Amino acid sequence: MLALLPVLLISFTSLFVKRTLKTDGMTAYFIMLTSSLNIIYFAALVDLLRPAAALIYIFLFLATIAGALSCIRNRISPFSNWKEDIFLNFNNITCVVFAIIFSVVKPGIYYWDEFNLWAPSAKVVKLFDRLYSIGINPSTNDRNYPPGNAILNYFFSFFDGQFKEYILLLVYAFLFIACFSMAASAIYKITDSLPISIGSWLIFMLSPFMAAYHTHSVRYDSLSYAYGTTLVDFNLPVVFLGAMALYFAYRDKKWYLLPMLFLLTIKKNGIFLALLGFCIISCFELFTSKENKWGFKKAIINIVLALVIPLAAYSAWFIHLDAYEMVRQEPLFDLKDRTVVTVQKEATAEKESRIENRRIKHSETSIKAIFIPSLRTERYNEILQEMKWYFINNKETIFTTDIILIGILFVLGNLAAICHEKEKRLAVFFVSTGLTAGCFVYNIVIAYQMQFYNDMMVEYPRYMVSYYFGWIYVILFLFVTAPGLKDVFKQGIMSLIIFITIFDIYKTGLDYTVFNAPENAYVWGREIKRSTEFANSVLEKGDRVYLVYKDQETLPYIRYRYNLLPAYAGFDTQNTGIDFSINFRERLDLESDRQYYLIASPEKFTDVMKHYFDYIYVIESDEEFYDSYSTLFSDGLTPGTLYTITDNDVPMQAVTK
Amino acid sequence: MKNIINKYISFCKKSRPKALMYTYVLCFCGTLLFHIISGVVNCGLSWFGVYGEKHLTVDSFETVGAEYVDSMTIINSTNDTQMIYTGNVRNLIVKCEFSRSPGEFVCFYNTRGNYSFSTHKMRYAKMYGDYYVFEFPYGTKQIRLDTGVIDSITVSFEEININSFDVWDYFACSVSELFTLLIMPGVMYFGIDTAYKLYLIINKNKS
Repeated sequence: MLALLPVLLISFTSLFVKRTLKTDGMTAYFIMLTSSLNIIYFAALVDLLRPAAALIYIFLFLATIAGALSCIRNRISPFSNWKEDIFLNFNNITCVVFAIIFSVVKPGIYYWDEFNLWAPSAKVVKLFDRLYSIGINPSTNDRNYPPGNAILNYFFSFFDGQFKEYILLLVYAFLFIACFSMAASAIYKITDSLPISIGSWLIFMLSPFMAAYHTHSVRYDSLSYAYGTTLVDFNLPVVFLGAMALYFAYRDKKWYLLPMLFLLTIKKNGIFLALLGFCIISCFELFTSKENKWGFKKAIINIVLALVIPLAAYSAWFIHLDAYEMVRQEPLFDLKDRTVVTVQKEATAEKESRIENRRIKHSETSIKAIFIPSLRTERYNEILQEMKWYFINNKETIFTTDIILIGILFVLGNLAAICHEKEKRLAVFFVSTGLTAGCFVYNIVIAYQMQFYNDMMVEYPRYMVSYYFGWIYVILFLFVTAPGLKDVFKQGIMSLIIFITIFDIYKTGLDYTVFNAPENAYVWGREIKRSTEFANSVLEKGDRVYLVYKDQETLPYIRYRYNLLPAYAGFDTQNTGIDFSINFRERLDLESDRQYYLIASPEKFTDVMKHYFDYIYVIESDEEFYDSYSTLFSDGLTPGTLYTITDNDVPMQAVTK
Repeated sequence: MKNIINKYISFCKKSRPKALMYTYVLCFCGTLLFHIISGVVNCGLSWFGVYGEKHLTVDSFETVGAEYVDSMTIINSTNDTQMIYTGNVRNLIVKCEFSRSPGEFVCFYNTRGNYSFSTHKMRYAKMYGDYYVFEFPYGTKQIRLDTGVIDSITVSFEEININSFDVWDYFACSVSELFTLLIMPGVMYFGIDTAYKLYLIINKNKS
């Protein structure tokens, strides 16, 4: 519940700041929120995360006190305009409701990428007060992923000393609620129709349930992803909606740049939506410049700003990565016995001919292939063919097939164009057409990325959701704000959407959503948490732990590594390039797709452990590891045990309660 | 009735934000009242033994395809081991261990007590801590617990309870109802406004 404190602070501050900004409470809230997140992000890039967050909270406290004193002095109530701040009230009440639900249900994480990437990145930033791209990276196998979700969690959980999975999910919900309420508030400002804006708010709030990959599994093994995942694919279109809503409602202000900047910190795909935003803004600025009070020259300046500022912010991330890259060190031990390299290579080659290994290496293609068809690999073309089938037949992204969805959106978009003010018709038409064309470009870009994976279309719905929902939100916004369409017609279509979504949710029940789910999906994760409780009570932040596990099943390995944070479990803390997930064994198993090192002698194993680690945690060893090294362990090597590495004759000493 | 509707509509026209607020307040009060009434009814049913709590053993069930070990242990002797209980059941809460993963742990139910079960009336186990929980609708008269699709699994029960509620459960709303309370009043407000606008257009066309 401490996560509600920032919500309340920003709300109070926005009640006072809104007069200065000459806007309503919800817009002021959204501006303050995105400003805070951006300030913390840029401060984190120069390793000033904690001071920046502290300063922001001091400012919020002082602004609240100053505003309250001003109200007392002038004898006015900050709540006197509650009708104007309807969506700020919706935002706050919804945040409280979600906080209560999440505090009781305590949802967890259960998907591979959540354990491998999104949750560890947030956990590291929270517990280390720094980005994982600075120094040792114990969170992810790719420090290039931008830290937007981690910054969001850091901001809202600032007053909570611990990292909690359900809080991470809750802060994502806070972001969604803020963007949806902001968009509804913008619609209210433009249309002056409360029913239309309430209907829009309902559609936005229910929209995460519309993504079909959010469907349940009947055994409760997995849940509706809506509000229940730390994957950020849905965060992108939601923040994009906030940015576009701000732009459409306040075209003479540059406030939309704030959520646009934050969009770029969420995931690398955010640049695509930011460029889409730039195209939409360009259309509106160019086609309505005559009617705008600022004219054509300023329209060009606005367009340039919409491109340059996000790109500059995006570049800042790469400058930061270069500045804080750890120097690569040479490994002190050669763990690879070169006499068997040839045998390994032969084995690998034979394995590759037997097992279909479809993935392409980055060196085999180039980014130019996106634009030049003749440069595309066979795999790239294969994926594009598969995508064509998906377009027509796939229902895994939303209620209907992709081609029908695209058709509906194209029709609605053009209807909105016809019914808009005369000066905006061309702009809306080009936006609608551009979004349709952009969908195909996005597919080609996604296909380029997918050729580096073995699985063909497993992640396709998730990647497409980012684009489709960005598109849906923009078209919906333009549709409901079209003055030429009668309210009853708009409300009729909105009613249909709301009814279908609610029917779909309640037909299967809230048991299959994060709001009332049993613990089935989290059971394994919680077992691991229980089994590492003692180890976590001993380990301190920064302790280096070697994990012993059979190396074929990597999900348990990843889960243990995540659970043992803030200890560095299984990481190459000296940046030598050694993969410590391999247990010093050679495997000539032709089904394997990993390179293995020759079994090191017990002496070499001990030397390596002493040099690189402080502890060893045994999850479960395989036979070869046990046969080779059990004599080095004080109790003969027992699963679920933490060992400290000493200079004793039996170097690995079990740590007991 | 028409007067009430007209009064509501003119109130909405005067102050839409207030109408929205009152819709939420009304729904909240209505939910509270519903829970009080249903709590009293459920308490009464439990008091009169209709859904009284019972602590069961294996002996309380008719077993099919199971090897009896003791009053709290069975071994699946087929891949379709069943434990059937006849009586008024609202929930079944089981604490047990399987010698290995059972593949499936489900419970069928019917409202006639005639040994007729189908997949349309089936519940998967919900896990809460160490407990497996199955919930059934009112009127359930017979349940069939399937302890796995693999034979030779030993199932050791620690607790088998039916109709296990405490007084607070009868009255309390679930947290998920909060989500419904958040969304539904808004849907009602929007729906009423849309219906009213449609009504005006239809009336205008008629005249």
